[in-house]
Amino acid sequence: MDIFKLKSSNQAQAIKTALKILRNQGLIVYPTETCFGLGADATNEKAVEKIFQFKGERNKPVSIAAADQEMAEKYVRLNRTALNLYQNFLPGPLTVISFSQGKVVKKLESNRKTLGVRIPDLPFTLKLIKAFGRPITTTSANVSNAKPPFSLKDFQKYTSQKRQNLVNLFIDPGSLPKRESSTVVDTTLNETLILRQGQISFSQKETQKFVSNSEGETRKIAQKITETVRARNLPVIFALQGELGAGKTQFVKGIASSLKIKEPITSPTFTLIKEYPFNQNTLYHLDTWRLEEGREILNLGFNKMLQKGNLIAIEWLEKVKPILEKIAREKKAKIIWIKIEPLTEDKRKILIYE
Amino acid sequence: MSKKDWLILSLDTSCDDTSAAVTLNDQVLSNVIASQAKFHQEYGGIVPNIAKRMHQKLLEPTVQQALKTARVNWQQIKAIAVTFGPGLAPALETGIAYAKEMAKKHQKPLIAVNHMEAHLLSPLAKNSKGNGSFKNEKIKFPLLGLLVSGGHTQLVLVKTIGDYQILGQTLDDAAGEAFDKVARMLDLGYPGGPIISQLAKKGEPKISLPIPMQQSSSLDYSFSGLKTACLRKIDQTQIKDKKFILHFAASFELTVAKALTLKLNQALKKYPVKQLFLGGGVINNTTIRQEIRKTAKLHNTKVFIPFDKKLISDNAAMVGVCAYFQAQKGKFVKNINQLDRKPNLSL
Repeated sequence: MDIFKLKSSNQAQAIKTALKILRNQGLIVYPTETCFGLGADATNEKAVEKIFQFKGERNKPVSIAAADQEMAEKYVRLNRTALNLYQNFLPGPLTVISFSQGKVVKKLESNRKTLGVRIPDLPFTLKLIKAFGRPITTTSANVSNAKPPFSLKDFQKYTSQKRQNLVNLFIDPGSLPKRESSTVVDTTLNETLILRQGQISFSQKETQKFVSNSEGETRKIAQKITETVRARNLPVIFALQGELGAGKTQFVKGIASSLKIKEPITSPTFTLIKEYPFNQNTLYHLDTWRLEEGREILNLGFNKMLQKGNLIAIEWLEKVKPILEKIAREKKAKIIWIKIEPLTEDKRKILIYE
Repeated sequence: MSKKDWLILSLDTSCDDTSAAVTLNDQVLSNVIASQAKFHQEYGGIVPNIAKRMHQKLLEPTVQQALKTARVNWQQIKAIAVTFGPGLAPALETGIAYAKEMAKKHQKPLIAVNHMEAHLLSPLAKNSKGNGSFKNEKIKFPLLGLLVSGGHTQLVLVKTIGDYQILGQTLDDAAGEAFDKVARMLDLGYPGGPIISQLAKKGEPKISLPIPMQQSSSLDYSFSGLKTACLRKIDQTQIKDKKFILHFAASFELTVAKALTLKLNQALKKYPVKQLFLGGGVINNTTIRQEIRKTAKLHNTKVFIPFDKKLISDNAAMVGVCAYFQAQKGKFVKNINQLDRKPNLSL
């Protein structure tokens, strides 16, 4: 392993030396604003293989470092959330996960074909990546689960000779300030078009229409609807559509009160499902927003919930609409589609489709 | 190790993470969290994949790693502990099924642990050398616990270990969910907590947002009104540039902190306890912790958080420590076959 003492006067030389190694499938250790990173050509199988050898953990994805948004866009698909982050907060200590375009070594991507991208906030490192013309890997230069290095001394102390031998060049500007690792955000859940408008369109005309002037009225409307559908011989699914803050949970509170459920109905966003027993049956409250894919509700035991007398309220329909439609076709459940649209701050239009 | 010592292998599969730990009494010998070990914290394991998360395959290597790190084997383990609620039913089931299998195979007693009680008692955990937040302190009952996480927001009066009274809890969203939802409104991705807290450091809390439940004398929390107020503010703002996002993050974070401390202050007035225990992932947020410390100081109440960051979010070591207190009282699962998950379990 060669050590290059980086100074303001020899940056061009450092870049030249590093480029030669990157082009020859070699490994470099380079500074970032968080800690020292381990870099290899992200598009080269052999080079990337060395990264996994070094890290000692073969099944985890590794992020890439790009020079700018323009370079990143060639490797990942940037949606509105990602663009917001790139334009406002990159370069910076932030790893943004997007769907990969499949142009990097496959092992760097997650099973879902997502890829993390960073744009390090360090002029030298950006110049190096820009000169290389394509992204390099960025992962802290330590064995998996060990401490990240902030100096050459750290690195030499905690890295076995065998692993040090995998590295061709250590670019050393001196000790780096000790900062926390970069914050990771996944942008692939936030297809914001769906979040705000572009909701599911209902082809048929609504069967009932209400206007609610308050959360209390929304609960009363829900109560009324629940009472009219309960006698049927099938499980009932309330498929709730409405943007954040529209009052979907208020609606479920109304369902629960008509079932005489005393427990507070709280958001299922984090736990995905909440269940509330009543009489001999159960009210299930689901939120699919945190699911990777809609069909995952089947892994959550959805079919088991479909028993006569049970009620299921589902928020965030976009991902599960096809599954729900199939259930309706097979007559496994009675589905009531509910659309809640804000009219003013407190006023809501509630449309029911049976 | 004496006969009185409890070497416990514990499991937690309450929601997003699979975790296994080995504890000796209240000391943590190992604490392995699958999403951090198998994948890397830098990236991956962010969105919970249900199928994978609930796969028993993930438990075996996590348990092996926990045993290996603690340098113990199955013979030495005296009991097995597992979270049986609250949480996501199918995830809980996976952990319970595995714990039952191991308890039978290795003929060990089984201890069923309440995940929230484990969070509550997490400040009592010590490291393998016996050092922790309680090194030079004695526990003084009654005390208060404030648990703030992705799925929960609770104020608890601890009369003694095992005797709890919930003073207040959220009526709608948990504080952690509020962070995720506001990050969603600001187009910041998932999860919302870490990024809002990072951006908040560079912003000023100058956007006024309503502190929820100000008029209420109950100790319950509510974040749904704040969520709606945020949505309205964001929709009304024409230019959502960098500065706006930074200021909004700072304002929202401080408002959540104020909401938490408003009820904490009321609780401390009513129950002037000497000690306050904190637990749950949202406690990682430094602004929230600072505000809580300020409030506690007004009442001469000392604040305790777990000695290690890893013990704050969901983890199995806190389950092991909680199980140790149960084991001392002889609280084991009588009929292993009958142990069932309780997704709605309360304290």
